[in-house]
Amino acid sequence: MSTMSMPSQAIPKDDARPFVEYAFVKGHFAWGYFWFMFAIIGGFLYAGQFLQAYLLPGIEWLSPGRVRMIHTQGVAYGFIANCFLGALYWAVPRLTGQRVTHKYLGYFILYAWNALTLISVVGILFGEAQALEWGENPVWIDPVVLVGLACAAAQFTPALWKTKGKLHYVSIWYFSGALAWTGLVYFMGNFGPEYWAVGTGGAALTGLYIHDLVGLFVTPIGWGLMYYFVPILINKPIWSHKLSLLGFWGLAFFYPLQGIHHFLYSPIPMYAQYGAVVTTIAIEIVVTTVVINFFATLRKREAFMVNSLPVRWFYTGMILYFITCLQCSFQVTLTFQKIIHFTDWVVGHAHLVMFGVFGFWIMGMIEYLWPKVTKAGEWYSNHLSHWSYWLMGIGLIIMFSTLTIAGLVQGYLWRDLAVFEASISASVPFWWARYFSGLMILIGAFITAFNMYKTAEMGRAK
Amino acid sequence: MKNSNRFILLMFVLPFVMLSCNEYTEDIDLKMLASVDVTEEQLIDGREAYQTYCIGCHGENGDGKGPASKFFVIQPRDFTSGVYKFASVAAGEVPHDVDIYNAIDRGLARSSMPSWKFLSANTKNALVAYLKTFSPDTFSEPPGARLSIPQNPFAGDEEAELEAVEQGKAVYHGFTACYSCHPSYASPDEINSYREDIGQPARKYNIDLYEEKYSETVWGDTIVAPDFLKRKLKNGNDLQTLLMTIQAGIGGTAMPSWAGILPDEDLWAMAYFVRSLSIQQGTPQGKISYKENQELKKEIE
Amino acid sequence: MFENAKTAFLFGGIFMFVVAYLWEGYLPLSHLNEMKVETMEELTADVLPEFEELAEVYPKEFKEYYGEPTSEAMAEALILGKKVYTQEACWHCHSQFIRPVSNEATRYGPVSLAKEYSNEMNYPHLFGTRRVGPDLIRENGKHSNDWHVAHFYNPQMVVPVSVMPAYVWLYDETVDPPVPNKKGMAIITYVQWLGSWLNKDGNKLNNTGKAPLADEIETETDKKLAELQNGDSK
Repeated sequence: MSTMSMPSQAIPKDDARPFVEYAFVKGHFAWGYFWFMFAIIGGFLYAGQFLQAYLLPGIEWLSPGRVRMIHTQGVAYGFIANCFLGALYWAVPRLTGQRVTHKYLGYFILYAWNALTLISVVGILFGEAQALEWGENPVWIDPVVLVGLACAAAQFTPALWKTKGKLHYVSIWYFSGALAWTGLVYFMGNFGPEYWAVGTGGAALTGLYIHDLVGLFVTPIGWGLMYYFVPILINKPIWSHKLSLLGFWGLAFFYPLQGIHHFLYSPIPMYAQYGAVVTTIAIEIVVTTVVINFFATLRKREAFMVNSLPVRWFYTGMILYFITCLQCSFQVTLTFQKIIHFTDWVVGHAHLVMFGVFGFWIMGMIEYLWPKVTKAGEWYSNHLSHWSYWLMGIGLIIMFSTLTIAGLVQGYLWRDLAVFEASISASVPFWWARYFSGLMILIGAFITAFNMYKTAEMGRAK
Repeated sequence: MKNSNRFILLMFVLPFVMLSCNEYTEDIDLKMLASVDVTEEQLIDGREAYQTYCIGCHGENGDGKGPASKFFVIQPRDFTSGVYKFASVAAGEVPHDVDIYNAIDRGLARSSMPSWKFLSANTKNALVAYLKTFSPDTFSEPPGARLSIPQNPFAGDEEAELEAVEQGKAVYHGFTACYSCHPSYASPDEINSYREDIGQPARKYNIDLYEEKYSETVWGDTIVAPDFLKRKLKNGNDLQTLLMTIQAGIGGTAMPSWAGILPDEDLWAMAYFVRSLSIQQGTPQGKISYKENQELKKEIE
Repeated sequence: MFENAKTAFLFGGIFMFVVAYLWEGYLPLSHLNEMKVETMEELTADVLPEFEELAEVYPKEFKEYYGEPTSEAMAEALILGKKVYTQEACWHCHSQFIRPVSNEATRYGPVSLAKEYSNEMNYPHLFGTRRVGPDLIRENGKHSNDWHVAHFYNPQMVVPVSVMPAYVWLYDETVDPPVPNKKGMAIITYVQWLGSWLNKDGNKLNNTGKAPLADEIETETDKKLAELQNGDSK
């Protein structure tokens, strides 16, 4: 198999500025983790509503529906976007041998982005939400978010483009593609249904937006970072360069076409729905090649799965990614859709991909980078890190499996024309299990938060 | 790792412990059971269903005073009285199971009773059995004689159906004088001519001739005799239902049973007339008809 | 050539996105845009009977909030109702389209058609992707205003197993029983409006479905879109 090892770019010596700005990595990780805690506390609160046990009832701005929106918004824009930016500040200069565009732009992005997220969250809580899935931030903040995305693109794209040579490493394609996609996707998804595409046409664009946000922002940056971190951590080049080429271009060809599979059997013209179904099944092949590539890379380095917690987070995420995509290629078929659409199955799927894959990868990156960027050198407690891994891992598996089964139960009860209340009564045991799995994740998250705080304190003391 | 194992085990077990605390105990009153002809299991099923679906409006004791009832203009049925509005027996007689079943199945339009058609037939039967236990005295009597639907003399002939509407209008304003509760749909002169046809003297009319009048029910609440141009009919407006409502009357209210008093042909004609008004609702024509009818008021002044 | 940052950005990023938009966005939109977008005036030409009923049951409060139950007042209530529906995220737990599968037409009513959403109330659409509670696009005629008043105040009061939150801030709680405030009346109007275009004869029983909208398809555009929806376009 052809291999292409990661380029080790020479650091320019004539410049006194630090090559990698640790403050940005640290700042984005800290904020990202704050939003993560914030979002999952919201999710946990919301899960209580399903048991008629909402902890803060009767308060208008803390109504469960609004908290549900800050749960997803906090995860997407607070947690994942922040942590990815942090990881990019670490990876991009090392990969390209170039500094990011400007330090002050970095500070601006750090504060502006988190201010935007905060304003969005407050706006949602006080009733300014926009009725778009993953785009609930108030409609008046959307143009500002686009400016923020443009700033992020301006910060990283020049460095990526100035990389020496014509053949660039795979991570660079992923980052470069994602920086182009994210702004376009955000523009289409937040303005289309609001202004120029009414009703059913708007639903088509919403479908594209929901899926592109995962497929064209989170997924490419996530895989780009995996292609960077995994070879470094296990000290071995990626197994096959050709497979990684197939993975990226397969994603670029198929992913943007899939969105309408969120609205199958809706009044959207059927050819668009068929297109979405076919390309979704096609991406499964691409995904398989990527996963094979990474597991082939791990060969003879399996011990890292046991000894290195970051690698364990990464590969756990990859296994779950494979399960997600396999599940996806089934659930997207019209046959499965009849039963599982509108049920908790989909909720389980969403948690599996957003937390089980990308959340776990980010946890791995934090695990690897946090002691470095805080200059502590090592974690306050490795023991606590392991606790966090097991609590979150098992919690997520329980959440995913209970929601999947609950989805089937609901779907069949609806199809069999049981009275609607029956589907609620039947789901309650599953919702209890989901609640406790959420509690496990929450405890795991608190443990890591404590660990991060103590580690940062150690770093300051040095 | 021992500690963590124990913790995880606890995480698994806790939900099930909490769930199992939820079981309820069996305490069906056997006296109630004796008064109706059902099995104990059926009553237990019926009570469970009642507590899952009905209790919020009809109340724990079936007296129609559930917590939600205070929001309602049309009050939920008080089952302890044993009187039901829509049944296939003359108003005031003991209804059949199927009448209660139908009310659950189809719901009552305009009121807050939704349709429960997706409850299984077994559950609905169990509910009927359980509802009857709220008024054991009533249901220890055999149900009244079921009224049959007479043959429709106007069926299938469009012209005859149009004439039926006219005939119904004459009966409505003549012999039965429905306008004493419902609004009238004819001018005072027209009513007097209808009265003349059946040998009754002309008379003067009150200013409220074109309004709905309110009356008290046996349950103590005040209800309105609906304007057919304005209000949905609780039991629906298909011909057969209308015919049954006219001939059976409405239990517990001022609406009497016309079976045996009016000939079958007049019953059908009335059903046609009421339907001709009712189907106009929500259409532009309905608005015009309603307005025109209200304007007839001026003729009294 | 394919292993380069610029190619990834320009070809993989921008070009592929545009291709996908043309296929999955522009093409369906070009078909759907042949439909006329109904304005608020057209939507509210016939005042909803349920809206008039609110005026009758709460005369004092209604007069204060909306004046008379006219078309303009109804348009105001619908727009405010949709805002409440959005800000409370009702659409996260209640979908608004009926699929032709899984017996949904039997449970809820006729299968949804594109033209039902071609109006000013659907910027943006509220299709939803989850049903914790039932679909609402055929809600009109299923429950009375009173039921909704009690249900929004405390859902468990009318549906004991419901997991819907109570929306007490949609009520004036200084009186007993609480009376819906302006927002409360708006959300009730909005929910009662959903599907009212199929129930012009409001006298039908709660559960008897009217003839599906498909039977009423008139224009060539409607016919073509229905064919596209069924997947048998020529």
